[in-house]
Amino acid sequence: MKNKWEEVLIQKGPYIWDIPKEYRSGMLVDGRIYASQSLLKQIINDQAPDQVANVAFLPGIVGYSLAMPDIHWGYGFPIGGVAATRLDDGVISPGGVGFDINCGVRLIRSNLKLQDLKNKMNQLLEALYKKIPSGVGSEGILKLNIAEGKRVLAEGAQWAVEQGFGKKEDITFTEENGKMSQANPDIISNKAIQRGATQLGTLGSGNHFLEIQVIDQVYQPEKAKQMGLEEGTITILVHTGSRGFGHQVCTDHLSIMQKAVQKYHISLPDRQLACAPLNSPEGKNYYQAMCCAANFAWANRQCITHWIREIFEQIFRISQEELGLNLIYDVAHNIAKIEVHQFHDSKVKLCVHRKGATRAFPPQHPDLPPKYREIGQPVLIPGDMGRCSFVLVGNEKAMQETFGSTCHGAGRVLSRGAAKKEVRNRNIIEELRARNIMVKARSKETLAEEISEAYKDVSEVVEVMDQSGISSKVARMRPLGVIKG
Amino acid sequence: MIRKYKNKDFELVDHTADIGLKIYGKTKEELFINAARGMFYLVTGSLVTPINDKSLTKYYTIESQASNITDLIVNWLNDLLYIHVTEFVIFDDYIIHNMTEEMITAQAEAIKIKDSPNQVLQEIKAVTYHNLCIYQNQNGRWVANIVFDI
Repeated sequence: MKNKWEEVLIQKGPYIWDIPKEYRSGMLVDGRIYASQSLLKQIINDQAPDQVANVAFLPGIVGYSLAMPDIHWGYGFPIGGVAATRLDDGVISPGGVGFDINCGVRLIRSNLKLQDLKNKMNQLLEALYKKIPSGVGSEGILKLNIAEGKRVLAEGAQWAVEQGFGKKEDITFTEENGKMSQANPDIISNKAIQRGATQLGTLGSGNHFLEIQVIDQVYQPEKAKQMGLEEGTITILVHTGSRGFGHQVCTDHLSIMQKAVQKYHISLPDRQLACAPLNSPEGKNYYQAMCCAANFAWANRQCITHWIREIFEQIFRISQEELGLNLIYDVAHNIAKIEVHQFHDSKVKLCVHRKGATRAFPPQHPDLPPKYREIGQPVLIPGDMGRCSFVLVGNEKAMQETFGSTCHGAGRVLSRGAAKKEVRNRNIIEELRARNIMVKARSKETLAEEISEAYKDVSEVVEVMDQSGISSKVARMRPLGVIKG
Repeated sequence: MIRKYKNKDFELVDHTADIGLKIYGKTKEELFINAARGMFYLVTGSLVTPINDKSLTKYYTIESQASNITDLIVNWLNDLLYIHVTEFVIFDDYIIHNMTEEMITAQAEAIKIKDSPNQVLQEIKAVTYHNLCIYQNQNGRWVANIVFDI
């Protein structure tokens, strides 16, 4: 049977497919999907293209309702979706950020090489697993009172560094310097505070992980060198977000947005897209609360970074300075940001929703730290636990075409149920061990859900963004040891 | 894809990133109870039934409100979820005292996760409004479709 999308989509370039706004009455702009022919085959068998069309209904949306090649069916927005809205008459949608606000990734480099890990990997994984709480409902070791908790929400990673969880330069290499200044802890519900109270400094479960890797391919040696990366370098990748705190912030405000949709007479095809004008009390409150959750996530990843450094120092019996455990960068991939973009020949402030998409600012962008001004923003793309991950850099074309955004990962292709069915009678830990990847996981269920086959091939996803000129490959990392929640 | 579950109170509905439930009930009250049972089936991977040792049982009063019944089921489940993650309990039984289209008052029984024969295998982040609906089918049974973010 012919897929309806084969007739709807209009190819606009080797990797660009548009959904014309005539596809459905109410779309304010066209949809645009970045994909290769083979990825597109997977994408059109999912409900994600309809969600790209749905996002085009958001009042004040400009340009396109964008989708990156890792796009897959989410709720409201597709995962892998980007939408920019005008500040004066546009909306902000919690569904365009998701429940895991500022879910993101950070990459730490080291002076270690593959041979240094010989006979140490097991010890390293055990120690990290013991130190960094992971798994469903994992509780952290940090117990904060209300006043201190509010400081976390206001100061983000900067709070963590002030408390001794890291170095000052970590802040420089974190998106937004690890703190969104519009955060307003006074509007946060007690429920959100309670839910986050025990979860600071925890990895969580699902697709969140901590991975020890080796750089096995370098595509742009000069740019890699500027980041402190070369073939054989050992790196550590951390993927987690704002935990229960962010989930509750989103839940609280989605409920408010349901009423706002009626109050402001907004017509939407999916209730999960519920939104409010950016200049309304509901819109402003959500943004300020979202900033608190973003800050919680940056503090979370910063605390975890500190404990990683401590564990490496213990195992290798040398200082973290000698180990060269420097933060390469930290990116958010579930967030809404007020950014300046060139649109229709003028510079305008827009609210850029990135739901499973990564900021990819080009060289010379003022928001980049001086170290990366010449090469562009490092973009971190985790793959599945059995294949590889990538470091890219943002290009000028990202500013021209995607509001400074690129993909965020591999993107699921199998549901969790289908993945579990796939692994029946298989020993995933042994399979990965045979490929020299050691895995420690709290739950066999999580491991089954996270098998390579559950994801698109991240190399193919990244290739689309590289060939499109949006973001360029710098280095590839191969997993050596993985901790899953 | 709908995978039939042997207990017809609810069925799991596959979703690429998340998971859905199709829930049934002879009455709206039964629908709400089955929705809660379905959610804790997702959390534990098995049907949670009350334990015999009542000394371990904790009782919670749940009072949820909304402007309509579809939003009410979301708030009801989110209220249970909140207690589950902050009090570290698993709910195993529910008695609805009072319910309208806009409010529900119920007593929910739970035990601490550490005392439960059931394990927590799945973190549910939230109940979503995506494809959310409640309706009465041709046989008069109440049906709800709910997608959970996991």
